Parts: sequence; C-alpha cells; structure tokens
Amino acid sequence: MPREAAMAAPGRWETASLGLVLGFALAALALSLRYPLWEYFQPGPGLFPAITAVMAVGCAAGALVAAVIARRQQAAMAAAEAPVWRRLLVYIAIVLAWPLAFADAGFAVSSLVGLTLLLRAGEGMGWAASLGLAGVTVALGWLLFEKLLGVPLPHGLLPA
Amino acid sequence: MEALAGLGQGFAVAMSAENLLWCLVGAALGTAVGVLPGLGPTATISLLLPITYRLDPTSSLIMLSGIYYGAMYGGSITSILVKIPGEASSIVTCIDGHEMARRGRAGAALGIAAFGSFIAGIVATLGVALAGPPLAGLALAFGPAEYTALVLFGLVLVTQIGEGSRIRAMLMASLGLFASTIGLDPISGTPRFTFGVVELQDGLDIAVLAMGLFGVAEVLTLAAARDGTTQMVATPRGFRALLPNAADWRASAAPIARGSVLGFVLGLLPGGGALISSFASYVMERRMARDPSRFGQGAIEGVAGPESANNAAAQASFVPLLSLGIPSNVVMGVMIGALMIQGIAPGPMLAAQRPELFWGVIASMFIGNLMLLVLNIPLLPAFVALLRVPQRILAPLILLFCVVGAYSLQNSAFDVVMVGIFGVLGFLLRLVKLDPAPFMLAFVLGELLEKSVRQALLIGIGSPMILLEKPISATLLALAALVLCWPVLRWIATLNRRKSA
Repeated sequence: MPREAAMAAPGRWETASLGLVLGFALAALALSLRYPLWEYFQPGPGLFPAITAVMAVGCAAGALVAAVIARRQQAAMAAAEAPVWRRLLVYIAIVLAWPLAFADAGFAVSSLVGLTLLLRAGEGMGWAASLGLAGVTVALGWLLFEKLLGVPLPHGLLPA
Repeated sequence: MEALAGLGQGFAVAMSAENLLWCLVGAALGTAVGVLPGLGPTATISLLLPITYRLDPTSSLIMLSGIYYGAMYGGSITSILVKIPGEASSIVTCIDGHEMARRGRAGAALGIAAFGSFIAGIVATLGVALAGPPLAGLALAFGPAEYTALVLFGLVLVTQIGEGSRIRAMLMASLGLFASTIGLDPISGTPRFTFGVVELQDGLDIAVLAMGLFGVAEVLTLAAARDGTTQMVATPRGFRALLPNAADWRASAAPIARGSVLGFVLGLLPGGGALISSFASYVMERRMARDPSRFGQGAIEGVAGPESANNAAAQASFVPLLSLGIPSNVVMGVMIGALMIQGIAPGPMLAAQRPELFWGVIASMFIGNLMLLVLNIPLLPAFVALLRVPQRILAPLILLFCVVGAYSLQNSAFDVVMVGIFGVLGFLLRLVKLDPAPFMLAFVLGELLEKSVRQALLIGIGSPMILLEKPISATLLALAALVLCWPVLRWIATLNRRKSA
C-alpha cells in the first residue's frame, strides 16, 4: 500500500479534526484571558498566550473554511484507502497503556508484556516468536540503559 | 584568521579519540536511518536525546550533527536502488538515480551521490566556518526588538516556504507558541496552564515533546502505512563499480559546484533546508541542460546536483543555530533541545563562551564527511542489507527506546506518559495533514519570542511601534510581511495579466 495513500485521511475526519483544533484554540484563548494582559505598567503573563491563541483561532478558522471548500470541490473524489486500523489500534492502546504501567509494574514486566502483545496482536507473530523477541529486546534495553548509561530503571513487581 | 585559529582549536577537539568515536557513530547511524524509509533524522535525533544527556555537550552535538548529514548520504542509497526516498530530501534522486540503476549504472549513481555529497559537505562546512563568527558578531548588537523581528521572520518563512498548506503550518506554529507558554511565566513567575500539575510548572520538556511527536508518532505511522516488500535493483559489487568514469565526472562537476552553492544559501534560510534545495537544484540543472529531455531518463546531473545541494543545506543550517540560536528547520530545533538539556543556550555568545563546542562541531563536519565517504563506498552492501529488516520488528524496537529513553531523562514516569500522549497526538495530527514540524519549531522559539516581545514593549513603554523604529527589526518585519502577502500579490498579478490578455 503506498504510504501517502494510506496516510491520507478521509475529508470528513479532516474537517472534524480542524473543528476540534478550533475548539481547542478558543478554549486556549478563554484560559489566556484569565491572566492579566497588562499589569504594573508592563506586559502581563496573559498577553503573549492571548496573542498566540488569537493567531491559532484565526488560522484554525481559515484552515477549516479551506478544508470545507476543498471537500465540496473534491466531493466526487474516491475515498482514500484507510490505514490498517486493527494494527494501529493495538499500537495506540499499547503506546498509551505501557507508559502508565511503566512505574508500577516496572521496566522489565511492563516492557515484556507490552512488546509481546504488540508483536502478537499488532504484528501477528506467533506467541513463541513474540515472547522470544520481546525477551531479547528487553534484555538489550536493560543492558544499554541500566548497565551502560546508569539509568535506574523502575523494578516495580520484581524484587530490586 | 579568526576562522583559521578557531578551526585549529576545533580540530584539536574533534580529533580526540572520544569525539572521533561519536562522530563515527553519528555518521554510521545517520546513513542507516537515511537508508531506512520512514525513519528520518528528526525521529532518530529525538530518540537519542536521552543518551546525549549522559555525554559531553561537544560529543553529543558532534554525534547528532553526524546523524543529520549522514542521513543525507544514506537517503540516496534507497532512492537509487529501490526508488523509495529513504529521506525526504532524496525524493528527486529517485527520478534519475533509479533510472540510472535500472539501466545498469547503479554504481555510478551511488558513487556520484557520495562524492557529490562529500564535496558539497566540505564546501558548506567551510562556509559555516567563515559565515558563523561574523554573523554571531552582528547578532551581539541585537536587542529585544531585533530578536522579536528575527524570530517572527524565521517563523513566517518556515510556515510559508515549507511543504503543505500555509494556513495549517501557521496554525501549528501558533499552537507551538501557545504550548511554549505552559509553565511558570518567565518574568512574573505566575504558573500558566498547569492545572495544578506540579510537573508542568517547568513547562513541557522539549525532549519529551520531540520523542512523542517524532519518535512514537513515527512508529504509529509505520504501523498504519506499512510499505510492501522492497523491490531492489541489483546492488553494485566491488569498489570499482562505484567509481564514476571520466565522462560522469565531466557531466557532474558543474552540477556539484552549483548544488553546493545553492544548497548552502538555501540552507541558511529558515524553512529552506535540504528538501527545498534538492528540488531547486534539480529544476536548475534541468533548465540549464542542453538537452532537458534527458532528465527523467537517467541523467547523472539529476543525481549530482540535488545530492550535493541537500548535503550543503544540511551543513548550512548549522549557521543560524550556532550563531543566532535560531533553528532553521525542525532537526535544528531538536538539536537546540539537546543543547538545552546540557544547560547550553546556543546563540551569538556560543563562539566566545564555548569555543571548543562551536569550533569542535564545525571541525567534526570535515571529519564526518570524510568518514561518510569512506563508509559509503565499501560498506554499501551492509547498509543495503538494512532494507531487509522487517518493519514489524523495527517498530516495536523504536517504541521500547522511546519509553525507556523518556524515563531516563529525569527518571520520571510522568515523562513516559507524556511521550505516549504526544506520540498519539503527533500521529493524529499527521493523519489530518497537520505537520508537527512548525509546531516544534515555534515551541522551541516561543520562550525567546515571548521574552523579546515583552522586553521590547517594556522599552517602548507599551508601544509596539518600537519594533518599527529600529532599522534591523523594521527591515525584518517588512520582509516577513512581504513573504506573508506574497501569495496575495501573486494572485493579484495573475488577475491583472489575465485581464490585460
């Protein structure tokens, strides 16, 4: 699958995302205005964030309008091929869950479980191959960071 | 004379056994990531930021710069043999480079790409050595108004010159500037947008942001859009097969010279850099050719010019970084992160305060380019073998590096969580065609811009007119306005032309 084709998001998603960004920019502006813009005869802590938020609101609105116009013009265009959603969802879930478990479960356990699940569920490798590859990778990671670079990796569930 | 003395000092630093080793590591790693499609220098440098924390600042910058220009060399290998650009700046090399390879001239294409990159690298490094110190001297006279205008001009160029939609680039830059305000206000100390989270009081960590937006996001991109098996043309065997013949040299000499100069000039501009210079060089060579129809059919000039230009631009982008403290592209933005991790602020004072770093890095570029030439010719089969490493093994490995690397920054689980969040965010942004590069650059420049704006307003007793009263800042702002309005001016000119026709 060509990379660009797979990465091209359907127009509806793009417009919705730009709408979300616009909402975020408006929220950023509202939050910025809570801080003083000018105090003690000098620029206050809210001035710069407010200016950048106004710029973001303007640009987001512009990008949204441009996306809506482009969508109408290209309505006849075929929808782009979607990414491999199953694999992607496994990756996203692990990217978010692994860091959360990193401190409590420890480097070795969280990394072994995270990598094994990634290789098995995300990449479709066999259990033995996934576990073996994850084990070797975790051991190499431990050697590089803990032994070579002196990073005190969290032990978590394992005894220190 | 100052440059010569500085270079002498720089060579003494760069030739130490430790720095030679890191230069070699950077050059080899850079070539490897250049070869691998998908994984670029930005992601690699971001991933290696935690390691540089434990290195001497000069050694870490030597290694990171080696990765950047090494990737320029490596990118051509994949472009020529597989017709997939290993690096964005090698896209145009696919056209004639792969066509040469298909006609059995892969060796000549790879050879001229390596030699051209080497020559351009040396020329551009000389340019860095000569242009850096005077520019730093000039920047010493800069006050808040000039810095405000310079950063604004840089950001405008980045958003207007780069690829993709301008309005979206400006949106991302605005969000990057906003993100830079998270944490304690640099002047009054008021916590801003921290929502009571203590870890956010120091602001978002540049390394965490880079690792998430470019490292983890790259892994997710690889997972989402996996390329199929690579179809490679026959790899040239033996040293002799990689040496261009006399006719190749005659055809390539002028394109290499032109590419070196063009790449250096474009590399100095914010938003310029390796990608644009390689395209500009290709267009220039085709226009100057006696028979432009040869382009696309395996013209060696179409390889020699762009490959020289992209390497020259990569080296040239160190001038604004080292002399002004202004990153001209996202790789340089991440490099600023590497320096900041070490407590070093790049800028006009760098050459005076840390001459061993300033000159050491420049001298290492001469050595690194030589190493790359030596590495690229005999070790070509080893680099080509990297293309056979399945991405399904590569992606989880990078992820492990991101997770542990993020933790190692401050031994903090919070950083690991932030890397995960920014990784998913970075991927989603790319999916909806919002490039994280302007965001990152604006984030890096945000603090400097805010401080400069506020100091300038303070000096001007609240009046923004102070920015227009100083000649340098007024000129830079006028240029920024011109660049911003350029599309509108061009549109008006086209309308007028149509009307008169």
